[in-house]
Amino acid sequence: MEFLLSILTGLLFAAGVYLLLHRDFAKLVMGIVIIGNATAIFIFVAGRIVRKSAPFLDEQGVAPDTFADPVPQALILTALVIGFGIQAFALLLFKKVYDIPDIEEVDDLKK
Amino acid sequence: MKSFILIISARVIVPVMLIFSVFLLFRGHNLPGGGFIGGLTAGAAFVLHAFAFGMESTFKALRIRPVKIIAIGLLLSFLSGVIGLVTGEGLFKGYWLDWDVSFLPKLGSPFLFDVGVYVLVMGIVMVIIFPNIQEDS
Amino acid sequence: MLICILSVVIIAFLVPLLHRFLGNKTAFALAILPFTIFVWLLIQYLNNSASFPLKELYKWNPYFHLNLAFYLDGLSLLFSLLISGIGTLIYIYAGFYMKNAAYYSRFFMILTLFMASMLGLVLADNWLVIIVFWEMTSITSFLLIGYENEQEKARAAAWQGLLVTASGGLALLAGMVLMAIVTGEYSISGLAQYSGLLTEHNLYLPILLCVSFGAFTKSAQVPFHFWLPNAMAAPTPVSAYLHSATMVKAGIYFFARFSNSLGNTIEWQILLCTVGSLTMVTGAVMAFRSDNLKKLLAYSTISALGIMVVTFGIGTEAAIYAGIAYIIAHAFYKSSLFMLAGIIDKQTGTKLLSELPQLLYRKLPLAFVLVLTAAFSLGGIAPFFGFVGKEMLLEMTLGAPFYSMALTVVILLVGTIFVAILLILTHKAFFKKATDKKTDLQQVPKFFYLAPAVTALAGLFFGLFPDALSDLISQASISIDQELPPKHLALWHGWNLALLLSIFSIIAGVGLYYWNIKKSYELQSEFLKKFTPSAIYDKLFNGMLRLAEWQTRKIQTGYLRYYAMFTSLTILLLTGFTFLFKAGIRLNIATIDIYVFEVLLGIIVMMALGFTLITRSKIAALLSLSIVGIAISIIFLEAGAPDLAITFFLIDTLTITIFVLILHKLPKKIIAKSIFAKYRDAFISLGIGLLVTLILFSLTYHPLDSRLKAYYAENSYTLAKGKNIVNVILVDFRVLDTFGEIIVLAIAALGVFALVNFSKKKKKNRTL
Repeated sequence: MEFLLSILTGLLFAAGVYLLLHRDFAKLVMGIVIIGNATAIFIFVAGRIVRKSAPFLDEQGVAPDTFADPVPQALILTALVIGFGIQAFALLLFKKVYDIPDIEEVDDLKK
Repeated sequence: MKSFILIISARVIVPVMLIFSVFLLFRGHNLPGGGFIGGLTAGAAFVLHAFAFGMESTFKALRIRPVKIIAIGLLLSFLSGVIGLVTGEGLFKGYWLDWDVSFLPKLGSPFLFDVGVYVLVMGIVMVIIFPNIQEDS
Repeated sequence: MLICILSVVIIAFLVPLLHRFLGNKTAFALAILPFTIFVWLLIQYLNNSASFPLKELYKWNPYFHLNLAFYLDGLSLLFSLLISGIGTLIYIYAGFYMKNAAYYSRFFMILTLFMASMLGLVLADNWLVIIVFWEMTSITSFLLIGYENEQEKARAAAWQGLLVTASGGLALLAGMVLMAIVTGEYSISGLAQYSGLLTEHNLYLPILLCVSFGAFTKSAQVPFHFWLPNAMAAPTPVSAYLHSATMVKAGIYFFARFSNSLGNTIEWQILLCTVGSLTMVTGAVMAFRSDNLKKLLAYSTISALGIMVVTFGIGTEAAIYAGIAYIIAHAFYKSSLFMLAGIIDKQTGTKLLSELPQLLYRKLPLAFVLVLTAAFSLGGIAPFFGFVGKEMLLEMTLGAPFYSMALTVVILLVGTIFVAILLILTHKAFFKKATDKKTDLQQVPKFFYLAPAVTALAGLFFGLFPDALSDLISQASISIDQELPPKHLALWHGWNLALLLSIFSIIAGVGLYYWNIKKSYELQSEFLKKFTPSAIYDKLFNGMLRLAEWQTRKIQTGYLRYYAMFTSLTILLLTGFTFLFKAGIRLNIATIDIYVFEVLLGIIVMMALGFTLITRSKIAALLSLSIVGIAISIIFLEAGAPDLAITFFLIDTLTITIFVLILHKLPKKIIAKSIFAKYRDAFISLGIGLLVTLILFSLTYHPLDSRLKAYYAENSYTLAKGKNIVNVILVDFRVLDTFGEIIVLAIAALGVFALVNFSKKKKKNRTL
């Protein structure tokens, strides 16, 4: 699964950067969102992947034989929520920018 | 933009979502769930409420401004850290109560922290999304 | 010693306050400060010289070897005596010179700061601290040269001085870092024991070049000498203090300091002797040709600095003594001459020799006598201290182990020109017969002459009784080379070769003066002017500005996507380069396992992504983006991370919700990229994607053996009473991190809050 996910992460990054270089606001923010997601998966893959066994202990508090690494999961979980905050902030900022007359695309910010 | 279907379904879904979010929070210590997930769910429930009934009624139902909710959440989390300080173990050192309630997780400072996260994330979802709805109604 | 420096710094910042109460008397009050230090140093010298070197150490940041270490031995004593002693006189002098000046308190504040940094420079032992003080002297010098900030010329000169000396500072830093790498030693006093290691090391030449580059720039050696004459735009007290007596000698101080660790190699000798000889001849010739009194003195300073560099380049016993004696002699006569030049300027209103009024010696008899006294020392005429210095120099070159003849000839040549300069300063300046201009002399207070008189008479006194300085010079020499025997200076050495050469140079100098006075020649052609170091500096400076302007225009376009593009390209190039050449591509084929379900998921993600990229409808792009999100959360679920899956799903939903809410506010049309931009961006983004994939392949090449994972699995139930390890990490093991993260979240939310309420201040019921 790491092999597949590595390729997928690369594709996500490529798509994200491509959108980031766009002149359109909406696409730009989409790029930010995709890069955020891609980063999460990047960290996840770097922490190695164990299929279908979540890091939970059984009733007696004993760990199963194999289970996914909880550390990157904990890292990503908070990162995702923070990423959400940042994305929302960016979106609102862009909305505010649009309230200014004469601004229709990213390039107009130069004015 | 009030839709009849939305209102009827929201009446059922919002309370269910809220209860489910609390359920997620409670079981978070042992099974998937926790403060972040629960808070997001609860926030989403209020957002749905606002969609269906309009912002005004949501604020009326909340009785408290979302920014204050964030503050309360942060305060709760911080207090959970102070508990350790009071018992002399050090900031954020875990402290558990002795008694167990079957449907509750093990009560203690980490749980309080999780509750704080829950409240905070709920408030954040509202603060972030509400201004976008506001201008429509 | 720390207290010394610190008190000077503190008082420096109190100067404006003092000025408010004392007015024009501030300078005289401030003169007490260096005088106290001078007396303290003298007491140390008289009472404690047996226990030299005195050391002081305050821990600042030991982890970086950064200690406030100070060190008082003969050499630093000599320099700090010069700094504080001449400093005292300069304050008195400047008190008259700067009277009612526009920026009086600013001037004295910076001057005091300069004194503090100069004292720090010669007293510090830790080289990190030395660098700090070194840069401080550069900066204060910059501020003082640019004192008359309304003059274009002064500003340009200040810039020039700063850039030249600061680039030297950078080189010095590099050299020091290299030395620390080689030896692991951070104190200057400890370097001597590594002399062998340093001179044998592969890095010796780079170290030597870096350190010398720093010292050469500071001490205005060819080809970096041009900043010093330009620095004469500063007020005269500054020229007398910084640019003749103290700061420019910092480079010499370094050569003296390092001669026991880096010196006595062929490279050292060749480098220092060549540069020093070139400098002394260039300086002397330029001085001889100058009409401006201050420039003349500046060039002769350059020449004298060249002489000092040569002495430490030769590095024999006689050379070290000669060098140190010459430092003292030069400090006396040059500061005196500068101060007198300032007084003459004040009185006659001109710095140009050709514009001085006729028969000046009658009008300014006191100035004439003092100039005569100091200039005799400069010319090396008995019984002045300059004579003692010159004798020692000749002895040194005659006894030099290499190129004895050549060095002697150079020294003689310079000595001859110096004699001619002596005549220019006395005869040409004061006995001029006719002049076109009528100037009225300004009256100055008699005490104005006090400071130059003290230094000029000191030159005479120590010339008559040179033995008084023997001990000090011996002390200083011992700190350069511990095996040197104490030396006794004497005015009269008997009839020897040095004396004969000395007399020869005096006669030749007089001849040169009279020959030149009849001939006025124009040597400088336009062609040569283009290649003077100063012109090259100007070219470099302007070129740099143009380059910066061009580069800023290219990169800082103001278009957001170009910023993003340059950032991406930089990441691509730097990371890619490092990755390919340092790590290399690795792929563990054995771990490739492909499940149909996962491949299907991947295909869905790819299709949705592609659709997001190409569609022209915003809603469609958004919907396909949400498909990507859902697919990713299923992947998380598959990979044993249900918590992540749920969180991701929720956040994806909420983000899309906000997007939809905002979308209809945005302009409807999607702006398409041009064909060229499409290919270019595709190239960049695919490059980054490929790089990420390859990095992940290499990262996952070996299975990860995480001790953290085992630790959490073992302890999360026993210590934290939870079975969901992820949650336990979040709310218990790493709770402080999570706390920090939720604070960040709260701040982001506050940002949104502020953004929303910013434009709605008037609205009464803020609901959020």
